Amino acid sequence: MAVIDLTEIRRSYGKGKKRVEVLHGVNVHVEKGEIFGLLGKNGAGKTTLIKVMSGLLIPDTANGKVLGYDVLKESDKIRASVSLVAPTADIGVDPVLTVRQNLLFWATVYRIPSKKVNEDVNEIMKALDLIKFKDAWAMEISAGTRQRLAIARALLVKHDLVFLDEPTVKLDMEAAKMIRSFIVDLRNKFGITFFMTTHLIEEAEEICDRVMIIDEGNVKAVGTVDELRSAFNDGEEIIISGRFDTLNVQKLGRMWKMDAKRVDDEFQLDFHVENVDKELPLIIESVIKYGEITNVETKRLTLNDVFKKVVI
Amino acid sequence: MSDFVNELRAIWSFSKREMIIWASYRVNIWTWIINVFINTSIFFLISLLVGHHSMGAYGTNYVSFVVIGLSLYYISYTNLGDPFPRVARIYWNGTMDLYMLSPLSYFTLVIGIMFRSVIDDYPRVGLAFLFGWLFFGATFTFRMPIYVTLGIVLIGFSTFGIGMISASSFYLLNFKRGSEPVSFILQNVVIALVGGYYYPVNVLPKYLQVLASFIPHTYALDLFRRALLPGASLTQSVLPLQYLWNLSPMLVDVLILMLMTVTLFPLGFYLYYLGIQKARKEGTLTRWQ
Repeated sequence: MAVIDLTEIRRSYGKGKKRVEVLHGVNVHVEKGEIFGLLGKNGAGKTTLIKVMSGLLIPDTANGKVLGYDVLKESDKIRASVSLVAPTADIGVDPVLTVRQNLLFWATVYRIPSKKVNEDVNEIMKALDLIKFKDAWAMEISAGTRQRLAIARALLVKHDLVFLDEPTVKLDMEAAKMIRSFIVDLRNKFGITFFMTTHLIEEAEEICDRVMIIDEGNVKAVGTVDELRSAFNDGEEIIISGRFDTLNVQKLGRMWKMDAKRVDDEFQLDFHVENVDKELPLIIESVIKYGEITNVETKRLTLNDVFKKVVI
Repeated sequence: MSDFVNELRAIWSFSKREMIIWASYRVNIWTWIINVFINTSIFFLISLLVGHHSMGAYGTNYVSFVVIGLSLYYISYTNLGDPFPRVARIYWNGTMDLYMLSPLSYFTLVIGIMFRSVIDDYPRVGLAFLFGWLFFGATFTFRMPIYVTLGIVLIGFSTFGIGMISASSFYLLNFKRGSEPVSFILQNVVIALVGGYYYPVNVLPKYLQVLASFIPHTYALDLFRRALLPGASLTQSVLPLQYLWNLSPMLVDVLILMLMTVTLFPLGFYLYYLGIQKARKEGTLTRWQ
């Protein structure tokens, strides 16, 4: 079932000659329970897209539904049914309230039933390792812990769709890992759909089921990480170093698409292949007949390489 | 649970939050008490100059007269002056987006975020009465409870309506740099001059009395002073419209206040709604983070 099914999203800012279109007919389709990543440079239109999909911003044009609600006609219902984690941790966190008081306040705003408020607040604090800070003022805790508090605030209510705008931007590696793991757990446990933007491509590679890359308001690529690697793969590399006769290197050059160069008393053979996993055993088997292999390296296409190819 | 009960729960939660924040600045409580005391004292000192000259239809005691003016000033300062800076605050700190992404109604939000001022300002009314009575010889009577209650409700809603018109200008007219003309002109110019906080409206030149006829404060003060000040007249006309209509002056006050309330309150909320819709179209709901 599609949680987000939108086509032809256009949005501009300014009037008259100063009018600038920042989303040029973007289509977004996200299935229930997906962790969907949105990648793009600064100014690519990521935040605008999130604001349109969450009902905060009225698009110039758009067709389709979010959580079954019409994006143009029922934006009030969309707004009441989604959560957002903003990139700045201090948003929604009152510095002179304790961590627990902050969450209790938002629990009421989100209409969590009175009987469940304490239970839900304790549960989320436990999940995000905030229990030990529960009585600390928000202004006393680190920026990273405040970011966790901001995430706790957004996830306090189990909305079916959560927008995360750079959720781990201020966190150290350990805390970021905890958040990623929590997101995956929530998806697995409650089927929550996450739509997240991130500048950390490895993060998208790690937890996103599908990824969309946008640049200057246009969708450049969308698919699973493997699909994107395949789609933008113009070759991977296998680099074999070893001791070979010049004649044998020439023979290998006739058999395989490769470059060779001498490095000290060894040759470095650079094989251009389509798929490292498939071709590595065959090449090793072939090369080993002609000399002594001292090192093997592979270069695969990463999501980062795809991003660079698409955007830069 | 019904939507209405949930909105009330949210307002209660806002008020608790604002109370915690207000009380966390301990020095607040002392400065707050001293501020009310000094304000009342100033008018007592002025009243020494005035002596016990008659205030005409409003009895004979200037301190009592001014305590009522001061009380309405506190209520008006919150209801009329506060919505704009509170909306500005949640725009600049980026929280507006989060509130909008919740089931909270646009209006509960504004009422909720005003609670710090409500906590700060409304109790000043009680303190002003207490200090005036304890230390400065103010005297009051409570002979028309229905009129007083009606007056409090009507002036509360009508000034809040004007406050919402002022708040709507933040988005409708893009007054995002700190101040806006609606509350400034009303609060600091018109009401300060002709509202009648510190002197009766009938001492003003005729054209200013006519101007005073267009603000709710004029009628609320007239109503409260007649109802609460010993020796105040219940029948003598003071305001221009009271001369025009052959009704009890206090009834005229209530009718005009009702008319202003049913006009200003919905108008304020409607304009604020339009302002939010405009901001959603323009992408100016909150400061870009």
